[in-house]
Amino acid sequence: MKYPILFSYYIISLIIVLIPFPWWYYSVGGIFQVFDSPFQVNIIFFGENLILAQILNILLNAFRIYVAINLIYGIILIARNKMHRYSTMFWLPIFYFIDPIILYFVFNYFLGQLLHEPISYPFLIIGEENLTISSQNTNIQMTIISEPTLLFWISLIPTALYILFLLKERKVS
Amino acid sequence: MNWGKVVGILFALLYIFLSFNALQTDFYSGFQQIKSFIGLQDNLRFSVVSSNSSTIILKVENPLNVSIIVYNITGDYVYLEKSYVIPPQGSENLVLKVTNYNALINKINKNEETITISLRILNTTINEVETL
Repeated sequence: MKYPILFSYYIISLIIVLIPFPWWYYSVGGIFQVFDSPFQVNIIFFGENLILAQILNILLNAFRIYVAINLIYGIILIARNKMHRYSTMFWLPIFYFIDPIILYFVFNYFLGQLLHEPISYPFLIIGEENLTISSQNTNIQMTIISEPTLLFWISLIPTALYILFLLKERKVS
Repeated sequence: MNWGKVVGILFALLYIFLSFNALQTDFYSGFQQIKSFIGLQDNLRFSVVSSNSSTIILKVENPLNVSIIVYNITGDYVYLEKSYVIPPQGSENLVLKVTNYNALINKINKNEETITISLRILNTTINEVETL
């Protein structure tokens, strides 16, 4: 086999894509909870599953099918010793580190302006922090939890393999 | 030609097409659900059941699907003896102790009696200051 690293990248990616579990857990004061991966999402609001999220799930599942077929195609080509690149699974876990940064700006600048109340949303990527919203006579304190699941850490394996492949390729050329 | 992408898009579209029925029902029930959430705006009703010179019994109704913990209600002349858990969709009678009835009435008449209510819903703590 000419491309063993790329081959294992495709195989592990395919397994990860087919596992129907979330990658990340996010909670705003327990009132708004999100379990998500790039291929599925489950939103709980005041203890109730949000039905509209199921519509999003159909689209995300379609994306899952699309990525899986691309990975299978990659496996077939690599098995025939033909070069084929498909870097989506390299990028997906990286986006999860960018998401909290976007949320930070949305909460503090956009939502704060909209509600005319100062919101002090903590900057956190992984962990637990307190969010405080206060208006004239009310003070609300919410615990923000943002945590990856085991599957997220596993999803970093293809990312690492892809980097390894890029480095090796550079060395050869 | 990248056949992986072509076949992938075809199957993804086929999946969306086959899920179309589920999509429609989800849309309908999803919006019904959102409407019910909007109704939660005027949630948590407090009403006085009875009162005398030493206690006030306050009924609290919880319209949520999660329980609410009432930690404390404190004012200058009233306090809550213990914290209460109000079950989902249920109600609970809270017993407020009055330390000085005449002073309380005086303050209420002057619109000066402020009480602090502290609640907990899941991982959220709410502290509210109200004037009686």
